[in-house]
Amino acid sequence: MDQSGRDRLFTDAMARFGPALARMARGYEADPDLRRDLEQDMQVALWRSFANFDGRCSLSTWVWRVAHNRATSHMLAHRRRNARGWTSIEDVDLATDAPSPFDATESDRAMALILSIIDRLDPPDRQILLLYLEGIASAEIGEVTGVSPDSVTTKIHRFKTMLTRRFAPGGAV
Amino acid sequence: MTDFSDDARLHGLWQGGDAVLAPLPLDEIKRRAARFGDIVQRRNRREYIAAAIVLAGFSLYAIILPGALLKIGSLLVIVGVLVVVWQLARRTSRPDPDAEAADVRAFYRARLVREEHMLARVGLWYLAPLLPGLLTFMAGEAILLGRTDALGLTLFLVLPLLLFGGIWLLNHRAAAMLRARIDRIDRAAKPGDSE
Repeated sequence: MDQSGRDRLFTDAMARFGPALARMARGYEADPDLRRDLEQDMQVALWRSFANFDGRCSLSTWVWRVAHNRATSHMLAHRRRNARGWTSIEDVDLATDAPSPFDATESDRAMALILSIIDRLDPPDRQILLLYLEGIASAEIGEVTGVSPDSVTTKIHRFKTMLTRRFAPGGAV
Repeated sequence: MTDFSDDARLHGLWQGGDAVLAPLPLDEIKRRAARFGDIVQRRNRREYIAAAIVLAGFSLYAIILPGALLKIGSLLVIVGVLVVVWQLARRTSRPDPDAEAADVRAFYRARLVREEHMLARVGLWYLAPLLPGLLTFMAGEAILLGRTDALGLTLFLVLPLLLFGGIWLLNHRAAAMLRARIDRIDRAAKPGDSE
């Protein structure tokens, strides 16, 4: 693809997916400064990748793959800060370290709980849940992540069950 | 009470925030993209600086220290460090920009496999090249200080070996953890297996 086509595709992708990429970065990096670095790295990765974009998959699938893969590299590069390590969603246990409700509003509590679960997950499961939260259909999540749609559905179900149980008064996973 | 079973409400909650991506100017993106090949070089810079310090130190030892064993040991350490630096450069090749468009599972698995290979073979490419020089140098030091008794040999030869053994074990443990993670990814990808 020529330079102007690449620039046009990149501008289009930023217009369509910019806010979603910012939310995605929040699911990968809690530190604001490092998150800004990640957002910038994702933009550079996307622009570079469009040199090879041939339309074999949709623009959204391409954008999600490149952005998530760059975020995975970011996770691996900064993994020493994550002393607990990551796990699959089936092994997440929030009983001891879920955010305390205190006086936060219900939606703040819910968002904190969502982020606390996502923060524990290894890249494949993290990507599935972040794409689900963006409203991406299971079939496309499967295409982006390389996981079967059935497995995607199961993991999303587990995620919602965990949220419901933990959010219930006195509840724990 | 938030209803987490309702997909639309959950999506609304996630997307309702004020997340905004600060756009980089296109010129800046192109400037950074042109530097992409430097990423690995920057990552390895610390190792290269450490290697340069070791090389300078043992070059000096080879010149000023007395005794054949200390001089030969110093030269062997220098050769060993050069082998390690070469292996580091070879094993951390330039990132493949095409790989980032692969599906996420394949990309993550490939990264883990590459790291697992490096850790599992650390004895071969990192420890073994340094060992002959280190042992020769330490033997020379034991002789120079007149510590060829059992305690002296333990201090000068066995302790460094134990240190290397510890490094080898730690790396193998890390490699085993990565292998478990790779196995989990493979299990999750099996058709019809929804875990």
